[in-house]
Amino acid sequence: MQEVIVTLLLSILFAFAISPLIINILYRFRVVRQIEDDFSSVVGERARKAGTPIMGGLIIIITVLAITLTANWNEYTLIPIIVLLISAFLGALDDLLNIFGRKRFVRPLQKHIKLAMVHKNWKKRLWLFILIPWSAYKNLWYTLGSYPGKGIHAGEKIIVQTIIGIIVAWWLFLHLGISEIWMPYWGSWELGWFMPILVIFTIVSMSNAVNISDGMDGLSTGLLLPSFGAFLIIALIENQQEISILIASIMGALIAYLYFNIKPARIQMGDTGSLALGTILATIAFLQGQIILLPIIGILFVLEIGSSLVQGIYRKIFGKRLLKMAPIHLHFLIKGWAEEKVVMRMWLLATIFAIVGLAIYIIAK
Amino acid sequence: MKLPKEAEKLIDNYFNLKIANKNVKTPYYMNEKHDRRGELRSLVGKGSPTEIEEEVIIFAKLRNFNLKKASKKQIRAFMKEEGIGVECSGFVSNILDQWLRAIGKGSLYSNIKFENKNIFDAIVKYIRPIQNISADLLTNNTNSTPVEIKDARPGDLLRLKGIKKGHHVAIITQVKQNTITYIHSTTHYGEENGVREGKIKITDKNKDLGEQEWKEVDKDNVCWTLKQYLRQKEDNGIRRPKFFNQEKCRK
Repeated sequence: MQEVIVTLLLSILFAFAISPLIINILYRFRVVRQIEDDFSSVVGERARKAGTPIMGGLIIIITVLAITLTANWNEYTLIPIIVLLISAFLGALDDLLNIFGRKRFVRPLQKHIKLAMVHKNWKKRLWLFILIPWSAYKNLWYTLGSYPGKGIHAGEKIIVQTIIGIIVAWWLFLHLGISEIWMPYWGSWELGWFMPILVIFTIVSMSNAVNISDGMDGLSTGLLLPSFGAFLIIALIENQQEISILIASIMGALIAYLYFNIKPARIQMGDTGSLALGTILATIAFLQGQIILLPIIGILFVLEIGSSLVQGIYRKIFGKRLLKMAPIHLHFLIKGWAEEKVVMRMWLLATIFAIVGLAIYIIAK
Repeated sequence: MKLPKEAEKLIDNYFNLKIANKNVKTPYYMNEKHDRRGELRSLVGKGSPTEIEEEVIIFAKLRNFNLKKASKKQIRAFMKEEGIGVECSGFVSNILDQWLRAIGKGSLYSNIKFENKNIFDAIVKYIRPIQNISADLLTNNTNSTPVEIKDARPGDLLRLKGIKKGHHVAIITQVKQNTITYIHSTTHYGEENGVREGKIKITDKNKDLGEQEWKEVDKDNVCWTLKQYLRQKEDNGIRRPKFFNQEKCRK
């Protein structure tokens, strides 16, 4: 317990200390929000957020990395830190491409096939033939409503996230031998080879869910804090020393980051932080064997990604809107709620459901 | 045959969209881009008044456009810029759908005969009926029959031929003392495009539709409907939807 509190405080202090430096560096290199690249950011007053530094996730990543490497480096933190870094790298690349990259287009499949058949250079023709499945895959995402921008396309992100999921699944299933999940009142459930599939699915979903919820000042951080808080208490009850210190370092960094991210934000998390934190949240839930509690503790993330999915599918199929806009936080914004109102109500809900998740764990244990 | 109250209300809603406490007439918008075909109904010219109103509010928020301060003219210009409006077949289809439901005959989809290319095409049309109903489909021989001018009645359709390929369609709402009242959504009439009401005075029942007295004129006294849509005499005319021919139809 003592180590956890010390880690939490150290993490807060460390993150506070490096934040101004990171903010200044991001300003200096113009790593700032570009209004035309983020559809959600053009909603009313959110247009004014252009020029705010992004990649604020660096504060969290650097803090967690520094604390783990110096005080908590062991077999339980190795893979979480590796996947955290891979996800952060993926997010950082996306953030940077969105600012400094060029607009990318998706060539229609029919055009691609035609080009593969008529190109005068046979090498190019062969290359285009080889790339037909890739073009079909990219077109599938485009059809599903993912519009290509400057950054990494949705289909490309999913592939990297799946690889991250495979790494976590391999580590949990084959290395640590975890193939069970805890079910309230039933105890342990042996999932066998279904476990890796569940791991990959959850990693991909949660990483995107946190990413989607990072659309308002303070929102994703305020939702992550109670979620990590609930898992920290579980880790303490279960006497999982390494995991509890890891969570404490994340929470400390999040608290300091939130100080700068509260409206009007001085910095935004960007994909660098959101993808990484979503990945590590799911990884920790699996590591604790409490994956069943994740959709309850992180219900707001489920709502965020669920609303986006349902809206996208409904819109494509029926040509109508189910919500005024997706994800759900934008629905309320369009309805006329102030940004602060949406954020704080969602914080409250996240806290309530984190307590519900904890209660289920304690009562049903 | 009389226009049911429900359809009347829908028409009124198209003519008076409620946007920021103002009554705005729906402008014309037709989707000509292939990549917008899978879009929202209201963004491809096929939306209902409610859907159009909702889309205007959403786009105003997205573009930081102040609807409260904007005049009706500015709102219409904004809608046109964002591609929000209704096209002729979208307008008529929504009215016919409401009409059929009001008289207990089900949806327009269940009353119209589509020409499906394959099973996939049939599924798409089942899920998105209004988006797949064109002026041509409404007024072709499968779904309608020609009617003499003297026999015209509410619910009949005016099939008109425009400059471009395809047809234009309007719907008759009233026939009174040799005057036919119709409504349609038209691209013409400049800033006054969109949903409009027009009248045709029947001067000679034996003459062609184009030779009657058309009273839908702009400020320069030009009837664009007559000038632009009645170019090919042989292809114009009044058509009665076959579902209105059946006996069950409420008078």
